Amino acid sequence: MSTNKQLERQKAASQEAKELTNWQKIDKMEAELERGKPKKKRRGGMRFRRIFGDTVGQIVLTVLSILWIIPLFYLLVQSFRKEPGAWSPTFFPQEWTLDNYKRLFTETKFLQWYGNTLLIAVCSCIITAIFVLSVAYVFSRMKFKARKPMMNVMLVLGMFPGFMSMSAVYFLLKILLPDNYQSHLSLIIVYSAGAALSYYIAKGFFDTVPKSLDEAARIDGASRFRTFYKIILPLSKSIIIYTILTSFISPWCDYIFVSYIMAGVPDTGMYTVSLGMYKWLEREMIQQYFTTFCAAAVIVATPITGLFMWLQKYYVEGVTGGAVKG
Amino acid sequence: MASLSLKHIFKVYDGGVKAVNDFCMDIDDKEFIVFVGPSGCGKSTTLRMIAGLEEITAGELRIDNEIVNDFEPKDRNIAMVFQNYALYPHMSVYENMAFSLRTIHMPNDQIHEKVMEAAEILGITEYLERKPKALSGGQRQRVALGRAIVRQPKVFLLDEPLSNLDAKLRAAMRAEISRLHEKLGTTFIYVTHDQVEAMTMGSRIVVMKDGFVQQIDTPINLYKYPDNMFVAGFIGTPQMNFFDGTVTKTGDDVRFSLDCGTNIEMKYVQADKIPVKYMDGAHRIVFGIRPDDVRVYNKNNYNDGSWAPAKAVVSVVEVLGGETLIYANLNPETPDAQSGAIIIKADPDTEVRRGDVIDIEISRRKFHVFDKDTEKSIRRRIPEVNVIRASVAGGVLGFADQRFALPAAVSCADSTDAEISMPVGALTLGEGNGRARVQWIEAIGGKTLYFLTVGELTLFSLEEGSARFAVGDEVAFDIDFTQMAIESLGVAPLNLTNTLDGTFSKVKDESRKFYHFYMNVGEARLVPTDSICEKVFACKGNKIFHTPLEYVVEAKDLRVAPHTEGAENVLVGKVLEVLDYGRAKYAVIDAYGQRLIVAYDGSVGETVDVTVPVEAVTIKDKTIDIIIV
Repeated sequence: MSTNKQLERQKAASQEAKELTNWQKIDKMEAELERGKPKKKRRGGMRFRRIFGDTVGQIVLTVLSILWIIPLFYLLVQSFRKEPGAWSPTFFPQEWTLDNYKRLFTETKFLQWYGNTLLIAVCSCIITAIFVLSVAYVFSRMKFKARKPMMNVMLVLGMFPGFMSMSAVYFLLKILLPDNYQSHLSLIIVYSAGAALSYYIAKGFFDTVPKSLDEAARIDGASRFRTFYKIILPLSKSIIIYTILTSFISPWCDYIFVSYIMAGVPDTGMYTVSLGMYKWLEREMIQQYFTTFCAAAVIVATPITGLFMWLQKYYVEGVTGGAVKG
Repeated sequence: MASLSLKHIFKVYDGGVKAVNDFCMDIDDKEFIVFVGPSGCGKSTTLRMIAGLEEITAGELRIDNEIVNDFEPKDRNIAMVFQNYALYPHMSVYENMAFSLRTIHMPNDQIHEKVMEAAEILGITEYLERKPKALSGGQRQRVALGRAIVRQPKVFLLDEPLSNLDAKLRAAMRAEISRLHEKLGTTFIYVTHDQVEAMTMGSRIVVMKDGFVQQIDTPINLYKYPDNMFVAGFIGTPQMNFFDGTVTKTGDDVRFSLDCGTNIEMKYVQADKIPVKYMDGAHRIVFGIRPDDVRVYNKNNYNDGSWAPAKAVVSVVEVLGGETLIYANLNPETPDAQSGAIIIKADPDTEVRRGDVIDIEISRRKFHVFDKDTEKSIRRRIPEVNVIRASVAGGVLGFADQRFALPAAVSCADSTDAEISMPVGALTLGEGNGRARVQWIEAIGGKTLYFLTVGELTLFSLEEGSARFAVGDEVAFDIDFTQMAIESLGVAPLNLTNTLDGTFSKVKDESRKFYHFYMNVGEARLVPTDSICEKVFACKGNKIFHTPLEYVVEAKDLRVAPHTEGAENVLVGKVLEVLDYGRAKYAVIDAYGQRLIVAYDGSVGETVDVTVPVEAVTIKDKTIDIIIV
């Protein structure tokens, strides 16, 4: 009886094998071929060298990061200092308090400034990201006569510090927005107008995305724009995040342009954090406001630090993505 | 579903590098065309030009009789499968296949239906939700095929689709792609560097090298009748054996004397397609023989005289089971030398060892002969010319027992032994003074080649269409003397293709709002049609006005009329000479210092207008030698 069953089972199995389509046979064959390939093994000597190298590297990096962190740490602890004055004889405060933070939100216009800066930074960051990514894609994929000269000109222009153009920018803004050139809008314009100059990291990244993807999309009937946002952008998460981060930071931390464009504005509520906070460091104010300044600095740094820590994986990919062919 | 036509397609890169040179081909509906050649031969570039991913420098590409040179890829109704698959990594298999349909806003249920249908055909229904990363190479390739199938294109373009796969898998996929072609009934164009893929899959193969098309034919014809040494060596494994040497004809015997010392002898009948001028013992030739057409001598072998004996010394024996490959040398003293090396595909039961001197037999039927310098085959399936030794006396040409009165235009000194040559098409059957017997008839790709016996000579005549006569028939024949050449007496064939140097110019209209364009030959101005202007500018842009050009036009397209003042679109010239060829008369005309030949029935010395139909003119760029129109 049991032998009969066995026979039947065998028959069924062979039947099944016969019913495999050609494609399934090919799949099977491929899986077998894959299995037959030798696996890579790491050699012992290599392993030792790797561990040694890693250890040395870790030690050096730890020392360096401690050195870098000390000033920031000093700022942090000072923001909790109760004693007034700009100078303190000790590294750690003698008495700890949260009063500096309280004062920041109740007695100063810090919250207003913070809102202004956030608005400006977010707006110009969005505009900049769009500019940079489109320009980088165009330079990476499209062939036109002015491509090389334009890239060269942009590279050279990018070598000059932006504030060299300050006075020109001031007068241009006066022409562009004669009524309210000392406004947040003009700051957004200033921060996003020259953004495309820093296209090359994004271009380097796009260059590593195989061109055949674009070609496949072109044959599939997608327009350039559709190819860009349906195929290329979804593959470029890291570079998008990198671009957004960098383009958020520069308006967030900028002092030079704000101080110039907003110079003489009577309404201190229009200020950004950097401009407002800098006023606290003037000779008449510093004694009174130094600890408040430290507290404000901590609050200003918090969102960026958080953002960086959250997105650091992508950030690193974005920076190196352009350089290393993946 | 679609036919393709490629006419004089050129691809020239900015630096002047010519990637594709004068590619001409007509592809019928449902054909499976394979482009094959070593890397860098221009096969992928050609494919990409058909796809629309690469611009066509000059030439005309038609899909279904519509010129598509300037069409975007999506409007050409083609689909392409890339070598590296080019799947969208962030999309599932389903979305990858649906992408093109979503682009044209097809309703979801239809998309689903089409994707499922394609997935069914390719056996990828189980993987539809996976990302490409989770698939094996073969499966990815199938998704790429599926992405092409859902579009239901007129033409399928495949760019080395199997080259990233394992050898064993490749063989299996090969068969499946052929089956897919049957099932879909679409035109396929397939690029590969693997000649086995080409031979097994293609209904016709295009062999390319250095941007030039070497030969276009069916796999079996490429194997049997290679046009040149490159094709002969590229197609077939193991490679064809080549031997340098010379060939001599003595009476009815022909002897190939190879440099390695071997002589291969045969009757003239067996080598009658080789032009006699090569059989002088001085022309360097290359004798080619495939490993399959050499056999090891065995007394039981049947030999009706079509196998020539030779000796060889064995250097290596490879037993493959089904067959045995013997690496040997025709020169017994140098078993390992390059010259004289021969590979023999032998019966698996053959027992030979290294160092053995064996008797071999070389086929007298299936051998190939190439010109050493040009590397072109001189034992072509369709011979190019008839070469006859003849006598010329008092304006009468005589050979064998035939006599032909030479036309007035062919005037030459008398000679008792003149070598005359004429293309096989110049010998026309059915009428005329000549008499011949049809000895053999061969039908070759829509043409008929007659082997004619005239006295002791064998002559060839080529006709379009199927055979009009039967073997053994007595037929009349005539000679078209315009195509005849007698080198020793200075008679050259009449060149009916006129080549004129010229330029392209623009002249501002009187209203000063637009330009008139002209094709200039000397002082004459021909008005090009709009389509000519378009092609010229598409190819050369504004550089055209500074480029020296050649206008090529056939004599049969030109018309002559008496000169009238102010006639447009004409070249004005003076008749220098009238050539009387009996059947037709031609005039040699001097137009602006250049020679023109036109059919003409008038007198010498007249000034005439030659009407040039601009549509029939081929425009060539003299600097980089490409055909613009």
